[in-house]
Amino acid sequence: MMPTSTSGVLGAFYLPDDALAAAAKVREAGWTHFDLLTPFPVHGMDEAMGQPRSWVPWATGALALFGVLFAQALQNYVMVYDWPMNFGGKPHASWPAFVPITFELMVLFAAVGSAVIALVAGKKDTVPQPPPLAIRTGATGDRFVLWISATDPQWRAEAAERFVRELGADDVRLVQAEGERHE
Amino acid sequence: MRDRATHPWRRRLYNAMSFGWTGSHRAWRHYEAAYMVLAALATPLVFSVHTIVSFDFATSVLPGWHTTIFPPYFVIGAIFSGFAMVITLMTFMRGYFGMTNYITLNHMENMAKILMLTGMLVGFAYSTEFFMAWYSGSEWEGFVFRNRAFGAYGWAYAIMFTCNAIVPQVFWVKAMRRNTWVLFVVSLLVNVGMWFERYVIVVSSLHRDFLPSSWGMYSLTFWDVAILVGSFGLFFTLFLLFVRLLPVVAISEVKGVMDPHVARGGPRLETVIPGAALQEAQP
Repeated sequence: MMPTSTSGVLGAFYLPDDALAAAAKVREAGWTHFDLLTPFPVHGMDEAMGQPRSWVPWATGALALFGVLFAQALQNYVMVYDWPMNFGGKPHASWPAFVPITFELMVLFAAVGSAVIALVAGKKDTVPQPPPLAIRTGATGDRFVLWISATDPQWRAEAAERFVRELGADDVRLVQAEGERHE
Repeated sequence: MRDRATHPWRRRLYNAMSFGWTGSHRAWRHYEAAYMVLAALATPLVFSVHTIVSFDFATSVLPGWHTTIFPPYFVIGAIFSGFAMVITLMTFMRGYFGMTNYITLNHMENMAKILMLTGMLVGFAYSTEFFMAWYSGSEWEGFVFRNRAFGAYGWAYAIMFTCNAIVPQVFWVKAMRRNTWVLFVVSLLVNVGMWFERYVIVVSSLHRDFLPSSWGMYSLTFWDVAILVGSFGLFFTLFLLFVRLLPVVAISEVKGVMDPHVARGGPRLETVIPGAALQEAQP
């Protein structure tokens, strides 16, 4: 996980469309370590920020496949090798009888796994940010906050601050959090 | 909620439970993907759960349980009673907690339509069972179903059929679908009817099985009542705790569909009145 204690510049927008336009401009200006902190997922923001589609569904698919294989392996092992029982002369390795458990385990692995992975991925894929409680952006309320991290290759504090002001952002702040300084 | 909490314990609790959420759009992207995937997984889960519960009955040899219609019948019954329960709780939330702006009459009306549709499907399933009992020519099957409707437990069958298949028919009338009291009473009756559906399936099939020596009448014991009352108590305790401690409406989703200008206290910029343009165009 990327460090949370870092510095950068914050600027607030009050309408989702303004935030979308700003995101596109930030990307066109060549910034890479930037993010938009929003109260809800803004449609079109992925394109504006130049983000690829989330890879979480692929992880879900892999976990679902794992669940199917695990369930089949478990049931075949138990019913054929470990404790074979004769049910009216039916074959021991009868996959149709294993379908309910296979389905349930597929859903169990896929659902719990995707929920956890989505949370972890959301933390991992983000750019370095200061702890939210330390800066209180208001992005969980009604603001759309642009954050440019000082870890960006083209970072220069004054230039970044001026750039964010030019975008029309309100409440522009330079944040210096805990130790690290970038000039 | 986390950012507005003032009580230190609450702040700690909400802080831990939000896993350091900042609203980063890079995180929202994964959140939305996972949301979609979970919805896609939950839908077939409804079908599988109720299908397998019904298999517990259908794989037995007892007439009245041993029917192939059970999986779809149980799935529809679950959706039906689920919607009824949700209507009951939502009416309560709207009335008692004043959430009429979040849970609108349009939501309630749509729920009523689904309730009526699934009610008719359940009624169709009841009728199909009778048709199959006659059409199969099976003596046992025929006896069980005649006994179910007109035997000692005919009153339970009558309650079930009335509450589930007939009462929801009031929703053909729009005024009924938009009347909160009607919705509340009908949803309660549907809950009663669905409880009696289980009662009919379990009790009326068992009380006349193949051996007349094991015939009998079912009488509720104190412990049966205690389990029933206790499960109601457990449900409502947890429900009220949820209402008290956690956000009952996903606020981020409400924000997402709000007009941002209105959200900022401004006027509505574009008001779309359906048909307005049409009227202007006419001379």
